[in-house]
Amino acid sequence: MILQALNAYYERLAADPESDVAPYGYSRQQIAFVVVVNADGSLHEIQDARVEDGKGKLRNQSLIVLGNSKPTGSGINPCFLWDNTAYALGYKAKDEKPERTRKAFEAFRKRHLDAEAEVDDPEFGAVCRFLESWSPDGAESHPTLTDAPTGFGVFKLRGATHFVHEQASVKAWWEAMATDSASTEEASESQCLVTGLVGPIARLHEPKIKGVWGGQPAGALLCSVDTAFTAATSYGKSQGGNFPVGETPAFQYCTALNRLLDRANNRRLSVGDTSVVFWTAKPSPAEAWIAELFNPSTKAEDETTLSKVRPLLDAIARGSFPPEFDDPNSPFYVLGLAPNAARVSVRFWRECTLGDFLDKLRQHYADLEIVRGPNDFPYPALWRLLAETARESKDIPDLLEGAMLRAILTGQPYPQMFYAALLRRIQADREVRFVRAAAIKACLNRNSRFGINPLEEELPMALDQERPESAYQLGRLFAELEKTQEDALPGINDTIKDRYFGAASSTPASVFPRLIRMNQHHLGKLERGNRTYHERRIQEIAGRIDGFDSHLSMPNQGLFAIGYYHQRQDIFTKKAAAEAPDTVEAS
Amino acid sequence: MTAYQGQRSHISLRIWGDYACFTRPEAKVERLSYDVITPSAARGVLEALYWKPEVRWVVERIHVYREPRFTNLRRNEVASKASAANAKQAMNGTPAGTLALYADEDRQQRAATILTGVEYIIGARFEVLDDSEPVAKHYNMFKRRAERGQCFHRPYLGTREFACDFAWVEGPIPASPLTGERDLGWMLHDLVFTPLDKNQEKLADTLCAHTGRPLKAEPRFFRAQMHDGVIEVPPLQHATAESVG
Repeated sequence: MILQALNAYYERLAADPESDVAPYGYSRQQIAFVVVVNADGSLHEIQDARVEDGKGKLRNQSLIVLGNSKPTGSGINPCFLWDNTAYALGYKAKDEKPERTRKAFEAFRKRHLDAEAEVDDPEFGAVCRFLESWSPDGAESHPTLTDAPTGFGVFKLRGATHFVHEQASVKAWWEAMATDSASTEEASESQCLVTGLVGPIARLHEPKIKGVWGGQPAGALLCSVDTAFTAATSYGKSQGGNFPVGETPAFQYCTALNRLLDRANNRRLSVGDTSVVFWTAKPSPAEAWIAELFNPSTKAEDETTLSKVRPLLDAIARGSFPPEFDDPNSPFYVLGLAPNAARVSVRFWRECTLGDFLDKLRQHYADLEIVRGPNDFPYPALWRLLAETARESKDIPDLLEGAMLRAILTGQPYPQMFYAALLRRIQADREVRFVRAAAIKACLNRNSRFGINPLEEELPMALDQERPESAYQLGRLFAELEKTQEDALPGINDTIKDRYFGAASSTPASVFPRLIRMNQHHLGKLERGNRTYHERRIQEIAGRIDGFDSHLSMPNQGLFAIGYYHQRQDIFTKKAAAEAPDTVEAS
Repeated sequence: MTAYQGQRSHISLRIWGDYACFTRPEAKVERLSYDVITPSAARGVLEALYWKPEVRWVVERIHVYREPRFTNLRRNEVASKASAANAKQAMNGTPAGTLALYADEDRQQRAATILTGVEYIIGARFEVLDDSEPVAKHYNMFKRRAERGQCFHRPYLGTREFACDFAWVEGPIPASPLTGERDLGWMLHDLVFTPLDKNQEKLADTLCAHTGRPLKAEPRFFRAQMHDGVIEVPPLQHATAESVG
């Protein structure tokens, strides 16, 4: 259904005059410069076509040009009225193959001059005169070319408000030529798997898919069978013949996907190496917010976006459908793509309704809800969760991202790999931060809901002194023992947490007796009132523990971490509420 | 084609398995499965249990008992197919090239998005090409084989790795827990093989195994609509009827 949904998205865009989507036979390209020529074909100037983005960085302009994406391969393939500097001007900064560049320019010039009589347009004629008289040696004197060597260029007449390729007679000629060549080409006919209609099928699906993070800059194909991978071909068919898609639907789905992937349209987000795009079948204001809802940015510079997203997230977390999102029954699509050299592979695909999607998102954030410090943002972004599973982001396994996304969007348990990695990180750096505690709690609760290691009751957001699991109580005890030490020996470098957290959370029987002995020593250093306070708290917890387990299972290690985190948060919130422990003791 | 009036040729077979991958043609390389079993995959299961040159299976209905659930997997797949031309030459006594395929030298790692935990009942009938034998003979033979768990080769769910369990279903078919209408889009029905004349050999996709005649192999797609967990499969000949012409 991916191609069908994308095809429908294109049709939705095509019906909307404001969308400005490229029609069949055209494509959007990243334009970096404009060659402005006089009416007699002499060069006026070479303009920088780049525009500043929101962050003050110069970016190429996206313009609709004639033809599909730039043909790949080592052959000489000039485009029409647009191309890179090597083809259009015979110049390449830091050129290693001047021979090839010269040939490229000659081919470009020949293609245009050959077409001149047929096109018969004065503006096009001016470009032809320019190509005839232009000498590539002069290119170096134009700083635009030396500054902005990547990206394509287009042509324009001095004083004109449009580009030459936008001229009506040029377009008319182009379209007539495109239909001509399509009908003469021996395209095989078959039933299209997108529309079900019989017609000529596309051998290669153009335009190429660009903008998948980590993919080839020239673009890649979503559907392709490379000639070397013969195991994927059937009945002697080659390339597109193995998966018949009509020429128009092929163009439409590729164009629609490119548009979704275009950063400027805010329909995508990156999770690890997966590029995720999403859209609704009917236009909905929700589309503009999904990326933020999923990946709320917490940076200070995004304060204004955050101030708009926060109320939306709060509303969703309360279980209400934001009325400005329009129709909750509108079909909603999520597509996760991963790069693989010249191909993009589907890592994830889901269709549901907008209402269902928000409901699953609510469940996700509800599972993550846990007591937190004043500076912790309550809706951790997916990349934050994944970042907690590895020391560096490159260590996050590729498949984990798709699996997490699937778990969130379907409401299924989070991948076991995610939970195991979280525990491993906690063991390694002995740090139970807000995001980690939230993620562990979410894993345990969700597993329990699906009958995997069921808990007697759901883990709450904040400390529950009555919880029956001894692992949870051991975690609490460890937090109290640590606090006693911190109070007894302020400013100590190595606390018991740094030394014993790993052992305490996996093999409590081996360390807790020693920790208790040390605790006696720490208590001795405290003043009387303080000592009683700590003793009481420790005794309260110890009373709930039958004995120290020799070994804690994976689910129990998670409970230990939650118990520790809850108790630790409790200590600090109590302290904030009641100033000093003495006053607590006195009351 | 047949004269089997009054004789039973309709069967129901329950099939299930832990994993399945009914690869979408457009996602053959990095595999992505259809949501449910395709008619041609269902035919493959039936043929694994019982295949005779006189019998043609026609899948009529697919009952879906579990919500489609996907998971990701990476597998090593071989990049090429063993050469049929070489095999043919070897059979003729003039070996020309290698017959073997060395998986460890020719493998590529590919991502696959597959289904987990599937369960279907296939509603099918068979057509008999040679009516000198009673239809009941084929029916009973299939039934006996299905009940005993016999098969010519292990039936599988889309790809060979995903073996499939099966059981004979007697009597009414249980209702599916899935409810409502669902459009699953255009789905591969099966391939249609059209014999070509000798002079059209260039257009041929494959050759007939028995006669060596050139054949054109064309995929046919149908709009899969699931109604309360049941997908009605149109006859293959009519799969494109509404769209052609």
